[in-house]
Amino acid sequence: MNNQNKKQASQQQRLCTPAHHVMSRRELLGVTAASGLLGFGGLGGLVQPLVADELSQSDKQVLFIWIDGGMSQLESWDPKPNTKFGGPFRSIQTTLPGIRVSELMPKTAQIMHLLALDRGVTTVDNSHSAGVPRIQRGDPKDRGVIYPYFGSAVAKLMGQGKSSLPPYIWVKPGSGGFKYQDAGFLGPRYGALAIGDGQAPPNLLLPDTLSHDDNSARNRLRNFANQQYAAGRNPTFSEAQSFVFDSADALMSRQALFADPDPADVQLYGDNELGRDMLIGRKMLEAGVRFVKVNSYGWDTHGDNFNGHASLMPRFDQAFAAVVLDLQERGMLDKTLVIAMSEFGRTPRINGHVGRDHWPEAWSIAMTGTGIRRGVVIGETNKTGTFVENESHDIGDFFHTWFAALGVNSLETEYLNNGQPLPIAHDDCKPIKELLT
Amino acid sequence: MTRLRLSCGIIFIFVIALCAPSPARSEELHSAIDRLIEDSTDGIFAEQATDFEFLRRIFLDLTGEIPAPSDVTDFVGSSSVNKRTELIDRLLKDERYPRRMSELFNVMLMERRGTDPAWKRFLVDSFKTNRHWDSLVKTIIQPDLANENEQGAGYFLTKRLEKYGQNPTDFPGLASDIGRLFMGVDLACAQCHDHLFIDEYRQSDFQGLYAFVTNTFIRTDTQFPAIGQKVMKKPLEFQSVFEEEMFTTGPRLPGGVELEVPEYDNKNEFAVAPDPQSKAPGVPAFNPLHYLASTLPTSKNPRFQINLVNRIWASMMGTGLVWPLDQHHNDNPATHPKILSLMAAEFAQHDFDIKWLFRQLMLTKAYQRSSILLSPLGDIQKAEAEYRVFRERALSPEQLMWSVLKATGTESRYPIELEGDSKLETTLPTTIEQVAEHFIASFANPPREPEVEFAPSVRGSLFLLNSELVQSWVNNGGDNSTEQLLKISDNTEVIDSLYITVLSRPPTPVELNNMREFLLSHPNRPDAIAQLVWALLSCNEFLINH
Amino acid sequence: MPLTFDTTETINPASQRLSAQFSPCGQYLVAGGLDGLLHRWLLSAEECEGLPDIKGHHGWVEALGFHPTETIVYSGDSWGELSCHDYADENPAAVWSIESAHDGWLRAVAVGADGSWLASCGKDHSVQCRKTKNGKIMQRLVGHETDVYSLIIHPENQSLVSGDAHGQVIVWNRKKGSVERRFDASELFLQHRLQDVGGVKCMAFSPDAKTLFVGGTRPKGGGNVQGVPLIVGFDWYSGKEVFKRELGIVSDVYVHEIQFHSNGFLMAVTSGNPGTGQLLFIDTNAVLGEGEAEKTEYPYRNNTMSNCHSISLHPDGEQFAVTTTSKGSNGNGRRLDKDGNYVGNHSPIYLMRPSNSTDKEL
Repeated sequence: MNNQNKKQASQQQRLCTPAHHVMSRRELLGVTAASGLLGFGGLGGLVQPLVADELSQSDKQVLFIWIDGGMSQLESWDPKPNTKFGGPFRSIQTTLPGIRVSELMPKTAQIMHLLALDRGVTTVDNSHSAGVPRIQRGDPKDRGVIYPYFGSAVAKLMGQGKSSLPPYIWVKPGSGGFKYQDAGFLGPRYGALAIGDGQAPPNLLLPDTLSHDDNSARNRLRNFANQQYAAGRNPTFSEAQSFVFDSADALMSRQALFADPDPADVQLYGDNELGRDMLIGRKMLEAGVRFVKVNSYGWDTHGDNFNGHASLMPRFDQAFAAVVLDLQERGMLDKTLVIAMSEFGRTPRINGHVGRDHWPEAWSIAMTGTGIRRGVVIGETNKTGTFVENESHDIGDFFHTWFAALGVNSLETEYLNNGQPLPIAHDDCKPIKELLT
Repeated sequence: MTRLRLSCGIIFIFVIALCAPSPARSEELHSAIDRLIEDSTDGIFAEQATDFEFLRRIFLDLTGEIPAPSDVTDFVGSSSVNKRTELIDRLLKDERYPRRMSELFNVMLMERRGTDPAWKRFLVDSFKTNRHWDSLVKTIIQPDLANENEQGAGYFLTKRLEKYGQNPTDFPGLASDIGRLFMGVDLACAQCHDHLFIDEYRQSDFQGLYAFVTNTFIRTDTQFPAIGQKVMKKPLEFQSVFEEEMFTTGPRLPGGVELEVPEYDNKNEFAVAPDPQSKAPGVPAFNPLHYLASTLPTSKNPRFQINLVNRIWASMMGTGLVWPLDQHHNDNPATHPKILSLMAAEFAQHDFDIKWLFRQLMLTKAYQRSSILLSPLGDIQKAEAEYRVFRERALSPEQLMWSVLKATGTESRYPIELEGDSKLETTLPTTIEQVAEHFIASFANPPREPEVEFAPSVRGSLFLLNSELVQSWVNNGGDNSTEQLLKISDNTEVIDSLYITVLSRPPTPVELNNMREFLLSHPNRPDAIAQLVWALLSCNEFLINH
Repeated sequence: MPLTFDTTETINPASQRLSAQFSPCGQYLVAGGLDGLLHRWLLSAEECEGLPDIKGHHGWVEALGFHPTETIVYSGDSWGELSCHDYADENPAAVWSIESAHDGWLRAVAVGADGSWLASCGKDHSVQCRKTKNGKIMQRLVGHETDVYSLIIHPENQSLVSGDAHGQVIVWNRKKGSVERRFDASELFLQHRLQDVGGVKCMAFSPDAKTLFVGGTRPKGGGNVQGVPLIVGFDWYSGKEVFKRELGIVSDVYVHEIQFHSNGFLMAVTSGNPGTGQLLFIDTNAVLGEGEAEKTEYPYRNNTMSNCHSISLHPDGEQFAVTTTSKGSNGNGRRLDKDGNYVGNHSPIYLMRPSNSTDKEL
């Protein structure tokens, strides 16, 4: 068949969504018993309840910056200028002697002494955005359950903390709402409340005709009614339903989170969707939200990677540097774990569309904040940036590391799902000591 | 080159269908179901639902709204031995039954993609006349355009052919949905290669289905949604992304026989020639949709038989016998295979009579079982999985809407259409359509996501807590429930009436005391009653179908 | 009668994505590579002879321009360096070199018809004019708000024109050193999330110099950039848009270069998704109705070459060179050769001439 028909045949609009490619065999086959609601409330506990108590007293928080699509490590953290695959850009000096980053991130270069960077990341999944859930779940061993995303895990392990706001808030472009799928077997209570396009959820304000006392009174009545109903019933639905009311209530008392931003802040963070969302993220952290995920989309530069990163990177650079410095200035950096990463890096090989494809073999993850050593760069790739030299780290290692930074003993703490104890991070991985204080 | 494959899955299901245990002549389906459930477990069963529990449940499932206080007192007060069966039969004839079923099937089939008055009319009329499922599907694929009640049926196809955003026409999505919604198989992952994990889902199955729809288009010459077909001149060519070899296929149902694409010369291409004047596109002589309409929804297609019974079971019982609903295959067996195959066989034997199927399911002890756990049921999940206790289910946004309006006594405020020139100075909704939009915005899933699981949202809570609309329903005025309750001076009577109206049952002594105390201590009686109404509306018992 | 062309030569340099141009005398082909080198070939009647690479640049060398009479080539790289070499020299050293002519990516170079001045443009938003003799700066022209991608000089009045990443085209008044007027080709640009997508990739004047054509894409989205290749033409005098042509589908993405052939048609090369890419000859005088672009028969169309990034007309007006990219250039994850090495791609260059033209003395 000639090229034309071949082209037509291959140009059937593809149906597969990343979500489809995400599922493990077991999930696709529908044999997984643990869908959404199971493991809710009393059923999805921890093996060590005493540990849970201790952790819930912790005041540590997480800012998880998810750069969706795959930021190119060669155009950011691990440049190889003037080499075969190095691309067109130069590298620049940072505040760490001997450490250079891409010219596209000048502001981050100035805060390198605050960061910890691992340039020796090697992960397994190279399929587009199929890696997203896998990475965000810590790529644990397959035990026939849907593991929770990092945010849901922290929400479960450490709870809401002092804030009564939902423990896991996701600031993102696009739709908002309650994204319970992140929670896996932990149950929808540990899903993410998404703030979409910076919009306050509709109906956030108490009606004029109701005073705060009225509001308290009516909710007391509602809770009473719920208690009556709960007797003798499967708690799953009730708890989920009650939980969303509690979250709504908490949000209602925090109107300021959704107010128009200060123009000075907009200037600092950048007047674009990432700047806006990073700022909201900071406000959420200030309000005491345990785990804030901020998403940036549009990084999958299979085509026009270099012109793409030329405009993408500076905007990330500005928002990222702004939030790290802001947290530091507000005295929050020592309590907040900050992570910036994608689902993989990008190929050294430059394709015909002048783009880079997916490259989990050698990429970079940056972090700072509580429990993390400052101003340290570990891991290295070879001269052309194709592969990691010496020791490399997988996402499981990072999960262990981050749990450690948060004060969670990842080697001993386990979930309890329907009587099945489950490790919170990959069994065969361990914390990366060089990144921890 | 044509490659013909019969998937082993289809043989498997066919065999199951053949080997379905035929009930004894005297045993109706519902009894057989109960027997099979009881035979499959040693566990202890929960009691049958109380009259109150059952009444609310059946009203919600068959009329889409909670019962009125008079319904409650009549039913509970009746001493007829067969009152449950009688109630079921009465509600199946209720004028709200077509409305409820059209809402249920609309969400199942359209997954919130949009609304169309002709489509709605088609659905409502179908349930008014108890159009059987095979006829319903056939009409969806090939409606009789001269029949006003069928004209909107094409919306299922046309809406999916509409482009959204920057995307090109989603023919693959349409093919995939035909597989999912009418045959219970999600072949999307078999578009570019044989399914990586499910052996029965082959690329040729997807492509065969795709060949049915790849030449369709939305007609622009009709006032209602309608499909036209271009002439299909040759079979579809496809290739796996993993292999070089090219294949071809004509239209073919998964597991079915391929329809060969004939060669026509230009004169014979059309059975009905296009009409340049009216712009009618004509009907091609080789008509894939006609073939689809006559082979898909038949008792010869085992996947067709099994699909809807499983879906109806899921909406009534809280989960499918096969789950997910569009993943029927060998490695995902039904939890109760005998029940599934029996239902499928009987459904086919009864000519796919939907009303009959609902009736049989509702007559089961399983459906009429309580959702209240009394020890020692043991592991709750196991008990639910074995149907020893009834599962809670979500209320659809539509059920919520009708129930909230009923409970607050405000339904009459919202005509279907505004009369004449009446323009009201208000930002609040004035028609039922507009009210529905609020409920859908607050409680429904985004488009293209099935609504089959319980997914409470903060959005929904905020709507109930703070929206002007809900406040306008609970605050005293316009002859609503609050106003009616205000007319009652005795506090006990107020609380009694409140509970019957909103929760369809009388209060317990504890509840009576608590609510009465609230009423007494509140300085403003109208406000107090409004809060009471609101609290019961927003509590879990109201928001859940139990 | 449709045009046909033969490929007379295929050059397979080891490196990638070269923008190749013929020297004014037609005896040399010079190309800039992703390897920081200038590649040269001496063309003779028999075959092309590869000459030693010219070193000294860093990063990617893309911008090329020739002196009209001397054997001098001006080249710019992605680190911002502008250099001048004698390409006829066996092993040329730089005649002159300005290391940071631009701060970062130097995108294009254009040489004035009298050979005394040249212009360059780049990522630092600036357009600069320098003396060709020694590279000394004459003017820095400020007016673009973003990366400047392309340059062209009006063949008759020597007006300098530049096009940027936001689809803005500026005509400069060099005497005053300021913006004279603008053309708005913002159809070639889209802000998608955090990304600026598109831009004015290439420009060409019609043979009568009355129309300015600009090429790029009508972007659909960022990330893996998709868009319909698009050429827009402006009447030079009135500034009105007088021409618009889509050259493919959304996966074909960019028109990378356009140039008029002596046969009066506009040559265009496109490249989008790996494996796509066309060489097209377009009749810019044809008036097409709405929706007819899809059905148009081109005077010539070749879609067998993949990912064409540049086209250059030989001074004889007949032959031309198209740079392409090796097939199978993409892929997630590791693909190693049989020795276990991670391999990159390369850029075959096709030298083509009309089928009916006679062999000319070069």
